[in-house]
Amino acid sequence: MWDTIIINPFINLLLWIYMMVGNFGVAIILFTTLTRVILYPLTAKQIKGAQAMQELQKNKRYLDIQEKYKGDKEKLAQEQMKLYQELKINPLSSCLPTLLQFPIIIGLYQALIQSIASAPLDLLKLTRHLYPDFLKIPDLIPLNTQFLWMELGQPERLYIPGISFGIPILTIIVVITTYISSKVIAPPPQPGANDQGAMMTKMMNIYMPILMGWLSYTLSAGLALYFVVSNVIQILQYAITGKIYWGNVFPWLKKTEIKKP
Amino acid sequence: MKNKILTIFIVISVLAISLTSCSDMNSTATSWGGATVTDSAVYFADGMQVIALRLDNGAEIWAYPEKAAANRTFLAAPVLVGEQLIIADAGNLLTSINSRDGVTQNWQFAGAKGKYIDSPLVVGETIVAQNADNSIYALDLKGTKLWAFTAEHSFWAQPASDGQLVFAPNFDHYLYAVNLETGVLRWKTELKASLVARPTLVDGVIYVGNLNGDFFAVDSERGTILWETKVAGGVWAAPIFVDGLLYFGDQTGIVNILDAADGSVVDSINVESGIVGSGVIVTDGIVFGKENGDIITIGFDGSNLGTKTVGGSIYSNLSINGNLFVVVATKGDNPLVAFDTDVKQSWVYTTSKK
Repeated sequence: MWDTIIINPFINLLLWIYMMVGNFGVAIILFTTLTRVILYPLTAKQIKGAQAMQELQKNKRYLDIQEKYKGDKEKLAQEQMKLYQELKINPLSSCLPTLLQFPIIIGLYQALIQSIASAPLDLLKLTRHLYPDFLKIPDLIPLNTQFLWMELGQPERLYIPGISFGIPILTIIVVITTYISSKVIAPPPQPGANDQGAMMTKMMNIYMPILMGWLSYTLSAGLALYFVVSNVIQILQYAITGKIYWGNVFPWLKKTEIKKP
Repeated sequence: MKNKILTIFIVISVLAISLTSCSDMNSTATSWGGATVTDSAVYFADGMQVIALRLDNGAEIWAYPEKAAANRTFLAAPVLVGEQLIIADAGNLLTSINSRDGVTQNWQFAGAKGKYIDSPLVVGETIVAQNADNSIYALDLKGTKLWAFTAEHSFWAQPASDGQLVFAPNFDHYLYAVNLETGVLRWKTELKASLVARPTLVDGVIYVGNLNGDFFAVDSERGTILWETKVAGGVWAAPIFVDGLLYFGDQTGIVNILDAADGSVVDSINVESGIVGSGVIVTDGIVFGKENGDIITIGFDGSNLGTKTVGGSIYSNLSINGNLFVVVATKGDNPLVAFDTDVKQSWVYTTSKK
């Protein structure tokens, strides 16, 4: 089921793009761009949901409820739910699209690894994932998995003459872009806003770059390339919708933002 | 508040584990083990270790390394040369140890940059080790490098040799013939798709199949294709030559019997589960391992002589010596099962025997 719905289409699409462009790195970039464009309605929903929740935290009724029922968590939850329904806000609408992307990321990773097929069982599976009328084994295998200095099937390291160890350039880029992308999409906390929410956002901003960095350091460079492209596109998507807060990362831009009407 | 942070941490950790668990770091999950039956013992590469087992009851004699190490994976069947056991691991090491004690290391060759997927070939005093780093390395029996030959892509399958030339199948669609003494290329022939199956050499003719189900007979002297035949699926293992006929399975679950003279199809038997490893000749026919965990005996006339269940999935080549053959099962309860040549089970090696 998982293979039929996620893995097979992913592998065939990725490898079809590879056939068109003849470079697996470029194929990953194009494939990632395509998936992000397809997932854009979810991203837009996420942006809208986050914005609605942000607005809600300034709502007088919301603040009154917080104050009134701060000693009764059950009642507070009931009243909050009533307010959500009244204002037609779905509190999950900001995180659900993110959660929906997780299986796609896992599927993409499996598709990448199986497409690269650097071990017998992966290769055996790959030959079975291909739609025979769409892609031909002799045209595809072996894949050229070299991209710039990277072997996309292996963890990425850049070896510089004179330095005895490899530098994980892509991992560093993943950490930086993940940090920037998670910071610039989060609105600055409002005075009197929910401290818990702010704290959770702060924790996510720390955990996510570490997690993505660890994955990029240990797993294949192809996946790290996906993370970088995905982060950059996410930043662009937020920038296009105008819901981006550069001041969260670059404090000297904050004043300019505040001056905006 | 603390609970929420903990929840986020757990969700992120689960995501990390789910991604890393299917990574190539765990080579045993992406390949299969191998075993060799010799006159003295069975040597079984089970992924984490190489284990020597007694021929008569499968009891463990020793394990190398004594304690499994996370950074070493053993998948290719070890090769016995005199008292040396040559072990190619899924890192980049080729190691010779004393086959009697499993401890004494004779030498180690770390000159390759990639994985050893299949066992090396030993021809006289020369070890020919093919590697996924696109090279074939020739060593003497003391582990000294004699030469290296590099092609465009990975060498996975064990080559064949006539004592003069080494015939090595490659991912880049070519079959290479390299001088055994010097490593100089004699010829190379394009065989339409990637080659991951071992070739079989009989009377100056190399028989080999590719991943796309094309099967070839190639003249070993000049590299010219003598004939080619299409079979149902990808060929992963060497054919077995018996009385002018070639017997081999393919990944769609067909046992193919071809006439070695012209490649004409004598019989195609659907065994309903993929065949990845090569079979062994027993009393009444040829036994093949199937992906569904069964072994099947096909008579020399193509008749189905019966099936037995081993469990797990069988991908590895079966290995035989005298009247004992062994079957390696991947992800099964019984990782190695021994049979006699009447296909009666002799013993089972389970991890509990450790």
